[in-house]
Amino acid sequence: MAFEYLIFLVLAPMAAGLAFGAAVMKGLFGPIVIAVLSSAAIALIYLLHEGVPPIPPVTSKQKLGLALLLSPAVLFCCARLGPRGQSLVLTLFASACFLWLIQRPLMAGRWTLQWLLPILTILLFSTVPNLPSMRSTSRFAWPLTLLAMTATACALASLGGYLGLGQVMISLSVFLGGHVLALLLPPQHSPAQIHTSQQVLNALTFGLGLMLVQLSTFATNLSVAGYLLLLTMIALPFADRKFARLPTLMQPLAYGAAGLLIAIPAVLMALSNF
Amino acid sequence: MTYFSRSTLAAALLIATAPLAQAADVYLVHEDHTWVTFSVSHAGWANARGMFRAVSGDISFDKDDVTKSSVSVVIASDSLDTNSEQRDRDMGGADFLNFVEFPEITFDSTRIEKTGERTAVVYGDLTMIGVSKEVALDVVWNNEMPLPWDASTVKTGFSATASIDGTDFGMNQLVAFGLGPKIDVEIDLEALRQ
Repeated sequence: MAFEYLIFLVLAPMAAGLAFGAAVMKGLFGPIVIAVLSSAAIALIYLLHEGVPPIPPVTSKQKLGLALLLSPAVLFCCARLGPRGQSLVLTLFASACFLWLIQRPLMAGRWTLQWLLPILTILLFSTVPNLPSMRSTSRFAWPLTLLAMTATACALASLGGYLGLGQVMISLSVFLGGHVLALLLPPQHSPAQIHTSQQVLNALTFGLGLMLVQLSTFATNLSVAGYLLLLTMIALPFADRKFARLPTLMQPLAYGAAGLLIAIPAVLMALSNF
Repeated sequence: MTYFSRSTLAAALLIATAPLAQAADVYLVHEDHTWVTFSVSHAGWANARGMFRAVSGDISFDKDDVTKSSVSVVIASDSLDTNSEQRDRDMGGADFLNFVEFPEITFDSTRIEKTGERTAVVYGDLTMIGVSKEVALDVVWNNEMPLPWDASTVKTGFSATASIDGTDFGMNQLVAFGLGPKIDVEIDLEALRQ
């Protein structure tokens, strides 16, 4: 059983992440195709954990599965748009998903202040297509930011009463880890490859954003302070100018340390139920 | 037909149907004296137990023909108590009882089979987390009598058991965490005649 979990949770997503990273670096696919495939990989990881949702879906977990399945098509449709257009389309889609997820409590008039967290998440993630691209920053900025966010979200979900989504986040973290490992492989990468990698990360960011919307809406024991700290991680790529001066192998360590500086207090807050 | 004979016929019909109309008594579930408990294997170490504190409902109880009885019960899912507040909140999450989306668990009987002098199987639709499944409750009618200090208030009481599979209701994470998925339910219910 433990071995099955190891394969299911860790080894398979790691191999998939490495394969995606290698495909990017080898230039096997164009940026749009790789974005769509990455988005589909996230949906697959989610469905492997939560099962295929029925049509029509009944619970928010099932609705999230369908939203993730629709994501590759949405990313494909807006791939040729500029950053503002992409941001608008993805924000509208995420907002529609949020309303769909909360449909039952919303219709029953059971409002809660906790819904401010998913709204804040959507607003913050809507800025991602406009944030400094990997073309102008190091290739580690976004992958390691996403890795730190996903790993922290895994801890917050597991401690916050949403163990299933915590498991999904483990697999997603490992998938991102595999992608980061591929980025470490020599030789230095061309701007085109880095642009392709950015498309992968845009897709992963969008998938992670949808999962965070679900987490912050439905985790019954969520540490609000920890979650707000998690959201601040989205600013990590702005530290890139300083980190870019470091030797190549030191850059991931710098991002890892910066991520931990936020992740540790976030997890401590979750542990103390703050 | 004369006025007299019409009146006689109407009176005869009224007399004939009156016992039928009165045969089923209506009862309201006495929440403070009702225990809906469950136990579920915790990875084989022990049976984790819990109960729901908020249970309401009504019973139409026909003692002459129990198959004509019916029961409808509503349980507030966030009244779960497993002897750990942290675990209660975890069990209320989207993986399990999903309090936020589905605050109520309901049971509505559909048919009743009499199995003995005071026993029956009550079949009904259990709706939990947006999924409805037929469940069979083995029910024993324990007793009915007025309250010793208030003869005008009549109370009746039942005990019931059932077994459900949590994964039938979408709680697939039970298996991942070594719980169940078979859940044994025990109900002790008192109800006040209206």
